[in-house]
Amino acid sequence: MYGDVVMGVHSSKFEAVLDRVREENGYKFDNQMTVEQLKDVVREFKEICEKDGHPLPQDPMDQLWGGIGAVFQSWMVERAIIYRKLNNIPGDWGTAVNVQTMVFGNSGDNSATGVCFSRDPATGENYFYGEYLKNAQGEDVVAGIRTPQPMTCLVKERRKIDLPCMEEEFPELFKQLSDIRAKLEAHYKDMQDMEFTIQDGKLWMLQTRNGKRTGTAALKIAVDLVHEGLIDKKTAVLRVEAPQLDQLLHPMFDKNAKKEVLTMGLPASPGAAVGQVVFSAEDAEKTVQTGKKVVLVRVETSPEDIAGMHVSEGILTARGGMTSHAAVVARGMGKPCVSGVADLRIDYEGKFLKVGDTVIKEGDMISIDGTTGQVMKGALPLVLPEMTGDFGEFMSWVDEIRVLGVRANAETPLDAKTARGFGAEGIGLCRTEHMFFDPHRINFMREMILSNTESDRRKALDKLLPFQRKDFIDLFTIMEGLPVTIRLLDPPLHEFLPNKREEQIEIAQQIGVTVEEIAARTAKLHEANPMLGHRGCRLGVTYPEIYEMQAQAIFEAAVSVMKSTGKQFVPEVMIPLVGTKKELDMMHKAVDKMAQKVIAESGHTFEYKIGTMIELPRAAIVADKIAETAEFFSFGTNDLTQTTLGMSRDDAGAFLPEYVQKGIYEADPFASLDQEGVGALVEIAAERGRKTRPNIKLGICGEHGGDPKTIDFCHRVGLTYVSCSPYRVPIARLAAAQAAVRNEKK
Amino acid sequence: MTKWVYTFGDGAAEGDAGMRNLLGGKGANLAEMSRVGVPVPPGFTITTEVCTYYYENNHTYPADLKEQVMSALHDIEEKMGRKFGDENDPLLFSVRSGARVSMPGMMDTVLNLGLNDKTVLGLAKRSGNEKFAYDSYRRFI
Repeated sequence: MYGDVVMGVHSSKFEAVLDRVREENGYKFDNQMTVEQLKDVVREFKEICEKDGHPLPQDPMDQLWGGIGAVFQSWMVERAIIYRKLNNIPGDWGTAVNVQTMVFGNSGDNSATGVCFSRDPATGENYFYGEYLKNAQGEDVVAGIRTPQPMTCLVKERRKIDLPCMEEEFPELFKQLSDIRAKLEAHYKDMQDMEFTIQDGKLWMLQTRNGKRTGTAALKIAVDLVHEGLIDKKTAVLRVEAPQLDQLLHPMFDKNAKKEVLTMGLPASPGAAVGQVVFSAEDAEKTVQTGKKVVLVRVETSPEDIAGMHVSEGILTARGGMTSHAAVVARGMGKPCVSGVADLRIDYEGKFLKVGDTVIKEGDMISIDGTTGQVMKGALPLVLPEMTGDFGEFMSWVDEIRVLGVRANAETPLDAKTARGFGAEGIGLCRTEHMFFDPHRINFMREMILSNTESDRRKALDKLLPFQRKDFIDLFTIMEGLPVTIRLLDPPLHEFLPNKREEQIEIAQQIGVTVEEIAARTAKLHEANPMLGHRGCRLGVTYPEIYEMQAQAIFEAAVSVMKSTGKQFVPEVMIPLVGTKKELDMMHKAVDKMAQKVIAESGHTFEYKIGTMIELPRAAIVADKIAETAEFFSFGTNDLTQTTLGMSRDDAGAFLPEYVQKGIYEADPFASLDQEGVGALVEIAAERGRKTRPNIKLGICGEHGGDPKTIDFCHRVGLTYVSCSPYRVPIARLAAAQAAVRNEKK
Repeated sequence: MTKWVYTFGDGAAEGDAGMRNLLGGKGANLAEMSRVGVPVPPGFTITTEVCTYYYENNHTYPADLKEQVMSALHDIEEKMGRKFGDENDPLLFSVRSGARVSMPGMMDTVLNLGLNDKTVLGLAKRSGNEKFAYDSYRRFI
């Protein structure tokens, strides 16, 4: 120890001696050595130090200063520096040095050493948890040479352990330790992780600290401590971290199950998934219809795969990072996803995948863990997370405390129901384009796109109208009067057209045009940079009939639901990609006109709001002018980040990881809002928007809406609500409450 | 004069849990436990400021550190009624790191400081357990 730690003699030299002595005498453990053998070992150890040019200092004071120096030196060893980097610990904090009287747990049978928690760190249950070893030093408990003994008879019985527990072996000291457990917990008002040693019948405490715990335990302990009067609700809300709550919402692999890890990828979307392997979105849908569960395996995914992803248990991709299409969509759906598995080879033709020599065919079972990135062959057992009464109670405190509203990004009835189940207070973003990908209507959409005249386009749109109206009726019905913000068509039209020749042939037949027409239109719509191309309100300006149809569907649906339920509500229509007030004015006029028309035709009067996305820097800068028309702003921070940083999310994979690693950006700006840059634009827009329209509603609807750090920012800037994917809603609620408590304290 | 050393143990401490930045997590909690009357083996914490000084001053210590360490050491000897380096009944020390946040296994620890060819005999005699004494000595080296 001193030899290698302080004097830098390589530890292998000492280990070689111990190995030899063990081998010569047929010992398994060091503690089998006799006194004479130990004396020889000591002599040899000292010789090693001398030969190395570092004789062991015999003066205790020299030893002490050597030890102190070694600890300070170790602050700057490479592994400590790396650890600090990984955990964002500043290097200038420095370390303290603790010099403490040695107590020995290995000085006889009236001695022991142990590690314990004041409550169960896995379940949070309130009982004394831990283990100890008689006649042993701390390192022996960790090393696993001997089986440690349980603290209490309760645990001994529960786990059917055949060893004596501390309660039996040291009844008086156990009583003393139990009192200390209660005292420390009451003092620190949190679950404690403690180390103790008994030397010759006297108990000493060597450490206490707030214990690490699972999500289940964090929640239970927080709720219990409030009931016990140790902490208040605001403190309790800070005791559960967002990732811990996330753990509670996804099915998990049974921790006791044996598993063999086949390969690893990125933990792109948390949770565990088990299912048959399928290699295309279509096969996923077909297989699921037969009542089977599937894991979709793709090289990478694209928007066309959405339906297949939706029915899959989980998604596994060979390419793509944490913000790839597969990862973003999977997180949105609450589906486990492992992405970027570098050694995964996929043969679409042969319908099999290969990792090294292991082949998995279509239909074989596979298990993926989106929390760790692990991929396992076969079906691992799953356990459902428990949504016990504690969860509900905890979340009610969360809702009492938070100021920010929490809505969900949702367009399907399933999404909307899920969102409400998770406590969403409305829909902050309904992406209407997702409604057109449905197989029953995509061809009407394509007919519209392939039309050469406005009247042909209107004919095709007339066919789409009933579908859209039905979509909105469903949403309004499920949301029961809660606010629903509907964004008009946003993506460029070529996203709806097929690129592959076979598909073009198939579609040409289906809708009665020539393949050449489809190919020509696809070519004509091709854009060098679609993100900055013919999309958003630019579609509304050039093809006003599209937005007219959508507005008609929204208002007719609203009237229909208001009439059938007898309750009034306020639909919110949102115009995407606005950069100038004039654009918004044009769109506003068209939507307004349609609203008046629906009111006149239905004889039913209702209120509605027209607002805009703020997703271009220009829009943020001229927000005061835009607010003259817009009744609400929703910050589309995905595009606002792309346009502010001049960085395409789809191409950022090539350099962004290195940027984050080198600290150019603190975190992935597509996952956590770049507060300094994009955040400043949000603040400018909020301030200028309010100047024109003091009561303007302000929301955020990008991926960032579910990120706790971004939510804290939104709270500070005073936004009205955040909107995120349905499965992130509970986390957003928690983060909003934590933001309220933290910022109140400051 | 800057205070570089904070003692703890035997029902009292110069530091407390609120001094995590100065004493590190471990040191602050040892001080706090001592204050609330939990039995903690007496000891002292050398502050994180010494670490900062050490790296800012070419790996040297503040001039008055030695004096403060010696004073703290005598304090422990008095509490324990034993002496560091005593050949008949040696007091032994552990030296452990302790940053503001736990960095498990990242930095160095030295146990059983104070053992040498003479004190090991005293430890054997006092404990009546020669094997324990030599096992401790070899673990120390």
